[in-house]
Amino acid sequence: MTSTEQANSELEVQNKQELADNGEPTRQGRFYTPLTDIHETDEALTVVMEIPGVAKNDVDIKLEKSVLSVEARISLNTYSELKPLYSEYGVGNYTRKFQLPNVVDQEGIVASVDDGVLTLTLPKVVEATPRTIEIH
Amino acid sequence: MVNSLARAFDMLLDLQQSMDRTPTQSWWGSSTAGRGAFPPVNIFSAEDSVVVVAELPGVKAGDVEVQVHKDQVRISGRKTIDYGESASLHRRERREGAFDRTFSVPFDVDVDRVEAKRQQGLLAIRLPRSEADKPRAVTIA
Repeated sequence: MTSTEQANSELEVQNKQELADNGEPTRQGRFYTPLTDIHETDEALTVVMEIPGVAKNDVDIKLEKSVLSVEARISLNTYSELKPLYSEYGVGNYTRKFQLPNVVDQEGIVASVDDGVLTLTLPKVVEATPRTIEIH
Repeated sequence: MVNSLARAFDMLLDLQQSMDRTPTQSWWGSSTAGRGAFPPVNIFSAEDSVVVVAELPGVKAGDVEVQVHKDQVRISGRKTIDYGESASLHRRERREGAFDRTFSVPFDVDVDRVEAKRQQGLLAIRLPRSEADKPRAVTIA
């Protein structure tokens, strides 16, 4: 399916994937796997994650060896005045890990959160960006 | 407080999922043709209002529309994802497309007092019950 075809099709609900048991978290509450897109350009790898309901300050991004881990915690305080009646999606935290390739410049990672979408830009190290070699 | 809320959500979701297996749901009642399943919503009650929270991460402000008429609420719009021209995709889990969903609430809504707010990829719509629809106490002579 091409991109335009997809853009015109009707959106379907993508069920949130609950995290498979992987050591129990210390915090109570459910953990979900955020839907993630990863794309690459000549300069950088971009990781885009959907984390609806998470404030900018509640996102933890850690880089250990070459494992990038993201943990995003939702705040339930917004719901304290409300009485739940009906539910179609789970409310919970998000967590996901990725093994980064060697080409990433680990110092230069930039993150931003906008409209419930976390965007991580992972620049490539200079040696890894393709260069055209001129022939004299 | 927060912990008990987390448990309440867990319970509610379990309950809801089992209820979803039964075909009749009074919440939806009669629905219009625009009904779809996206976006997923959670519904809460607060005083005289019902609060509908929909998950719409990455949907831009101008790309979503909310319409309210009597007891019908319609959320429609389009989600687009821009990957950039020269990007090659490694992983593609997010989806784009159009959505249109209508549902009814169990009372007539006061359209002038409806508030809708987008925050952190969630759309929250507060639907107050209209004064005309509220029950009134009758003085007994």
